[in-house]
Amino acid sequence: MLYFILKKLAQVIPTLLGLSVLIFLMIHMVPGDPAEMMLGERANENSLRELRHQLGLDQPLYVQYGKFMGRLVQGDLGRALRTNEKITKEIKEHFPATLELSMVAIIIAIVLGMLAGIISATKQYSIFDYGSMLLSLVGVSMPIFWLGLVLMIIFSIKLAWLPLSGRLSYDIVLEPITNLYLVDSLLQGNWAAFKDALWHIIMPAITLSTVPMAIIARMTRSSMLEVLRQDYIRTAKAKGLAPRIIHYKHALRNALIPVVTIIGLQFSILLGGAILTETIFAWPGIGSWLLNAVYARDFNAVQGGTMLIALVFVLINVLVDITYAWINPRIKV
Amino acid sequence: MTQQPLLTVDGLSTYFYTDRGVAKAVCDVSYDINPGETLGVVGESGCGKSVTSLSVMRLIPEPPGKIVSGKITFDGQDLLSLNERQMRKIRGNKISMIFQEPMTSLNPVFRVGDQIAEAIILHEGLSHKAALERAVDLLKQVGIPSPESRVYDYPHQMSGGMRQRVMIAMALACKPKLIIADEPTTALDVTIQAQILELMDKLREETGTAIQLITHDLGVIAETAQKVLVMYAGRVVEQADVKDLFTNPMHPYTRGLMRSIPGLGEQEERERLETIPGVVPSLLNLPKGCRFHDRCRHAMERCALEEPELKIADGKHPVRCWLYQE
Amino acid sequence: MSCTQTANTTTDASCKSRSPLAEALLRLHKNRTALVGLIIVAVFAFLAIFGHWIAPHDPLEQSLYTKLKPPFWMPKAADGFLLGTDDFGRDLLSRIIYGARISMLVGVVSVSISLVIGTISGAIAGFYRGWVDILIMRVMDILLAIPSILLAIVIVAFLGPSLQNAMIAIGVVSIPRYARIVRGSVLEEYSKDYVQAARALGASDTRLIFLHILPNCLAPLIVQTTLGFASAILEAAALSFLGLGAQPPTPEWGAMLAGGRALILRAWWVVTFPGIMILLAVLGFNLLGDGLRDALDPRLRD
Ligand SMILES: Nc1ncnc2c1ncn2[C@@H]1O[C@H](COP(=O)(O)OP(=O)(O)OP(=O)(O)O)[C@@H](O)[C@H]1O
Ligand code: SF4
Ligand SMILES: [Mg+2]
Repeated sequence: MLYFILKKLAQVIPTLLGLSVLIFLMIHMVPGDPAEMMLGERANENSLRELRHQLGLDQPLYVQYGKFMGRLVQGDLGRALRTNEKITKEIKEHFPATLELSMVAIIIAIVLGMLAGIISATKQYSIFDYGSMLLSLVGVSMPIFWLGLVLMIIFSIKLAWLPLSGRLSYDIVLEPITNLYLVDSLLQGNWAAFKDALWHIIMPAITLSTVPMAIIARMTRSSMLEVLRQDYIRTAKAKGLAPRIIHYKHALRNALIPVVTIIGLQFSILLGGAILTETIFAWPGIGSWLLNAVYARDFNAVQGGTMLIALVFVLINVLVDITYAWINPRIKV
Repeated sequence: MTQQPLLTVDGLSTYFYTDRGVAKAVCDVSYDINPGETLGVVGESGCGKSVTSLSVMRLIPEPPGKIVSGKITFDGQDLLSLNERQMRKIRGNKISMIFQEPMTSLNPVFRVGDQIAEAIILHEGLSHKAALERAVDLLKQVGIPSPESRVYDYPHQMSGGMRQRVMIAMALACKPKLIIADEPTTALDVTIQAQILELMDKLREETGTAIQLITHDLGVIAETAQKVLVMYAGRVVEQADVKDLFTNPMHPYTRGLMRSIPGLGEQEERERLETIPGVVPSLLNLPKGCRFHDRCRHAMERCALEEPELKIADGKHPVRCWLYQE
Repeated sequence: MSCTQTANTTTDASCKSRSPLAEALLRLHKNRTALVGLIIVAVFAFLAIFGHWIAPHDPLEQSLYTKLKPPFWMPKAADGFLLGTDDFGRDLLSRIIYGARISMLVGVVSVSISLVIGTISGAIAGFYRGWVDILIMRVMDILLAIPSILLAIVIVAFLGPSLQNAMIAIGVVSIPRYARIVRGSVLEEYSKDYVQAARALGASDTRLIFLHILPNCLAPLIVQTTLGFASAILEAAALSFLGLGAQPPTPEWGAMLAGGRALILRAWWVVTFPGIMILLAVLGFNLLGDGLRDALDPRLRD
């Protein structure tokens, strides 16, 4: 198993390397001078030269790339031009918010999506089946940046049930431990903070979970239907097992195999969707941070943030491969 | 012949209501099986053998299928009047099944030992450990070498023959009174086929279970069964003790089947094997009269108009053919 | 296997020999959701082409007197502005109708970019194999290693925000989908006898690829193209929403949403209607794509 994990990890290294080259080249190949783009057209020659030097732009490309990689493997992404803070520090500050949001969203998506898919499959052609499949059709096509706004209008403005944006109300104090507010408030037994954090995360998490939930529901349904036709399900019935055990033990375990792959792909949608969701709900995560870097033409930060998200995404996919091998005994590990 | 039959099927009809009409897969089928006896059921593909046995298990997918009439009595119990819950206590416990496809009939994601143990835990309430020990014994009984380690195998680590042995072990797990084996050897190599049949016969003698053996190979019947049911297009066309049937096959379809087995046909026809020309009629669109008439070499005018009854006529056993009736 | 023998379990259609096209049409017809998709797509195509005849107003025409008027069924609605107006007094209905043209254009342009580049690179990779294949597919892997919307954002960030650059970015990020399909079927077809035979007869590589191999991956490509429209429209709207695509006052749905964001407390309709248009357009292409997949290639069913 360890060998399998190491092998999988080794396989992603070339991808990440290639990615670093790609992003690096993008910065340096775009028409025009990055320093000028960053400082604007009316910047004076001195500050331009200084910025070029600071960025290492006055050196040959391969030297620049070497230096960039040298720093990268040491976990140094350079400084954000906007704030002059270390990018790693900024990422560390913003990452937990994104992690918390994505985790809640993927849990909602997996639990509700799989449940809907299983019930649809076991009660094929029922009202529930038609209803949930219609919803999931709409779900996969949902522009979530719009859905977020609509939820805001309904639940924050018209009904005033949920807070409009942010992670926590201003009057709530919470000692940071992990910076995952739901976890921190639980650890400290701070119920008021927990409730407040929960109320804040509901809308963004539901918004973010919509598309993955719909995809997971559809995939689970078709995978379950496929499995329920298999001979071993008939064997299980002939053993006298109750439908509940047949569905949730014999069928689901097999149906999960393709669903896990799909769940892995959802992280792509999730991390991309986080940028939109965070922007709408003023959620102080990596997505909105990265977007602000884009607006500010802070290419250092864009480069660092993109590398980080790609790394997270690639690692998640390794995790998915491992899970896949674990639930599917036919794969030798 | 005085003992109480273990299973009595009386006038069973099972239909499938599909988009394109009603498929009368099983029509008015009756037979019985005594304890410890092997009943062979033969017939070409699609003539309703599997549907008959799935009806006994009450495993017909519903919809589209439905048992429309008949009575099934097993061990004094009227199976068709039981509810699902009571029926589940019988499946895998008193009646178990072995299916045609050993490659796909075992769940690929569970160890074979656990799959055998599952029924034991369910029906006999044994602990997982005790059930797994029983599984080892069962694997030994069905002739799997080094069963102690094999219980931990996944199905994909075994050959087809081994998997069918596992299926047999699973069927035997709760000491059933009846095993329904639906073409247990069709998917296997000839040599493995013989081994599996031998094993089943040996186990039947040892444990006293009755077997309903479904096959389209009369040769298999000749070797293992005591009684035979010949089915054609959802109907029983001939019913006899094995000796009777082979010494005195009456229905033209039965004779046709015999001519297609090496070394079993009538003297003059032994030299070359024959297959029955034509195909089984569509169940949605059954011909009027005898269902076999468009393939029968003895067909008469009457055959196309009226369907014969299943009757004991000239010979000693029931047959559904005008040749033996008024 | 003969027909009658299995007639009970198979459909009539598989017995009578129909042409593959008729088969596909039949299956498409049976699939009602696909039909709904086709109708939606047709309506949007119609709006895109004839929008200037249908739209009651100029989408850019501003007026202080008609600022933030609600849709017709609400009190204080203004005559002639069915779906109300935005904060510049522009007619919302006309703007969302013109939006169809922009979104369709985005679809056509970015799908063409990814289709052409993807097909060519996939065909080259599959046909020549070896290091060319490895190199091309590695690049595809790299593109796939970043969430597509993020990659599009990064590309636009470097190229500069505009609708044109957004279309390029969206085109680039979906190249791998097409490349993979084409490479897969090229590898599959290449090993078949008829290709080898044509080759032995001296057919040139390009002739082989275009005449013999590519027609075989037409079905999955058509499906992917249809679904590609859906994701292109969605991503372009997202980019514009973030201010990285179409710029105001262009009547692009995503940009309209961005403009309406600040108004959600006062004028819900300004964000509601453009969003519904995005949802419907994307839904239409997705439904049609799913239906085509079932109709053209039963093997591809999910
Ligand atoms: N789920 C179903 N839906 C519709 N029709 C069915 C279904 N299952 C069986 N049938 C019908 O019942 C007929 C008899 O099938 P059955 O499986 O009993 O044949 P068989 O004698 O076991 O053949 P084989 O030797 O191929 O196993 C089939 O031809 C089919 O028309
Ligand atoms: S009834 Fe007629 S057609 Fe049918 S089997 Fe007998 S002779 Fe042949
Ligand atoms: Mg059968």
